[in-house]
Amino acid sequence: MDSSILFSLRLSIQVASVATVGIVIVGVGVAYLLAMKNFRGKEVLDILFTLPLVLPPTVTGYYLIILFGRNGLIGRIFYQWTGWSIMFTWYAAVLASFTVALPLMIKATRAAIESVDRNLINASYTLGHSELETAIRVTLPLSKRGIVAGTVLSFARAMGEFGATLMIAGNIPGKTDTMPISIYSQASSGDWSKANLMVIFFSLMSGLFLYIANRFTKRIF
Amino acid sequence: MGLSVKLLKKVKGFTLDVEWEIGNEVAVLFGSSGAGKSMTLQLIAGLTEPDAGFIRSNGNIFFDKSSGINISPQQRSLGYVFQDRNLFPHMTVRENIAYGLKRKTREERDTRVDAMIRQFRLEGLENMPPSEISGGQKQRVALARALIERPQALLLDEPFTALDSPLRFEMRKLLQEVRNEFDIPVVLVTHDFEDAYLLGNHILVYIDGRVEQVGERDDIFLKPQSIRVAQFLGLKNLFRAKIMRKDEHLHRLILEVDGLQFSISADSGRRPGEVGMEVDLHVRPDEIMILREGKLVKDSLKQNIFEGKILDVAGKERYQTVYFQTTSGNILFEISIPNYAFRNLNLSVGKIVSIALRDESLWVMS
Repeated sequence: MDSSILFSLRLSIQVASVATVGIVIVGVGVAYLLAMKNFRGKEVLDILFTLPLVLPPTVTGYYLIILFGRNGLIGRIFYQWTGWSIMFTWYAAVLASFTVALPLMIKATRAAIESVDRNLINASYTLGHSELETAIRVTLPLSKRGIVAGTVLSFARAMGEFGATLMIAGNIPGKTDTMPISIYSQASSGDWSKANLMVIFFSLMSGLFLYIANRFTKRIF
Repeated sequence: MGLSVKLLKKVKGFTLDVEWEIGNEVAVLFGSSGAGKSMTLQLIAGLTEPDAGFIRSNGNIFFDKSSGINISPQQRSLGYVFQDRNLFPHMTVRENIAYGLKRKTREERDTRVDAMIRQFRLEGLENMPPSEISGGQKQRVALARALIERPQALLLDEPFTALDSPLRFEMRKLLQEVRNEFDIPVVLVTHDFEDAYLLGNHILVYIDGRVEQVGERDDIFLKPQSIRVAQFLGLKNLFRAKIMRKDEHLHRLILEVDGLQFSISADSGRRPGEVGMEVDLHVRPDEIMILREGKLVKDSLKQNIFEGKILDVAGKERYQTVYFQTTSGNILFEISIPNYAFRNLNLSVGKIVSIALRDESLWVMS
């Protein structure tokens, strides 16, 4: 196989894996808050986290530039402090994948946590277990199918992230050209054989992931 | 000693306003669904906060609005067994019971869990998931888990509703054992007559967010204090009656229902009332006698004899229900009589017979 294809494959897996780790941590936390707590601004928070699911990825990317660009709200402080900017590095691809795939994790996990019988959670409290301990030993284990499904879907989405990635990580061969970006380059330069290979690979992988996610969401205790 | 609560809680369209105290005994909160029974348990357990009142258990204050005390559910140390689907489905029987323990060393944990497994006769089921054991076993596991830390009180929300009768009887014995061994108040919520009758020595009748009557079992079922309790219990033969006169000498009251006169002992009811008052009269279906033709009647029964017609008969497994209408006044009575008596009296639909009401069959509520 061509070394540039291998590089793109490896980069995509690396970006998606790192993004997914962040998605699981943040996603489960946010989903738990949204499912279990009532607080002012809860719906606004929900909408904010869900927006990247419906926004064009380029718009999401645009927001990320505003926030994390060298002159962005957060990026500027970071740049002044360290002289480093996330823009056009593979970390930017992680950030883009994270932002775009996070809603899938939150949606799936929130639904799973909400479907856990409140009596079981209350039972744990009356048995003397704190909320954190209850979450770890009862609520989250009982939501595990939703969490696994969300993780798989998020990973697949992170692997396939294109628009926002292009906006903030660019298309630098050998540096930020993940598989979707590479496919775009091959197709625009007429290199159909490479593009075909990657397209077939992607289609099979996504199909497999969806199958796994479906299996986990259907079979409930 | 025991558990003492005063609770006020308003949620949309419903107000719970109760105050009661029980000792270390099995007390049943008995009422139809939506009467506030389960809410009472949730408030006691600390899962919901009352708007006002207090909750005290064996000298500990769990909640007191006036002094701002509100202990968290974790710290109240109460055993709470919910209706069903109580057990953690992702843990085995053993793990479920062990979950009731606070932090302990491994050995201590093992000995305590083993002891509960023996006590609640769960040997052999230790490693099964809850989905593979029977309903009765599930409730035993739930009890073992709730009791392993020796709680201050045990709260049971419709614990046996899903079980069939023989099993309920067994559970009743188990509950008595639990009460005797742990010497704690046990509060049991049910809407089921059989449960209430079998399980509770002390019954609190909940109607629309209030305690309508408190008493020993037979007090409730035989001597309801208000028409509301009588209706909730589904009692038959309830009539609106007027007190016509009082016979001080014989210590009796004469009531009238649709022109038909009843003579009742002045003790039939907690406060039978004064002449001219409207009261509710209950005639117990199982205390009505159908008289054999031509047979002499004891003097004590002569006070209330009515003639009428059998309109209908409905058979049940243990007794027959006879629908009887008096000739004068057209009052309809439901009468329960044992099958053998029904046969011996040659009763049939359309037959004209006389009935006699014993004093025990009459109960007045005002």
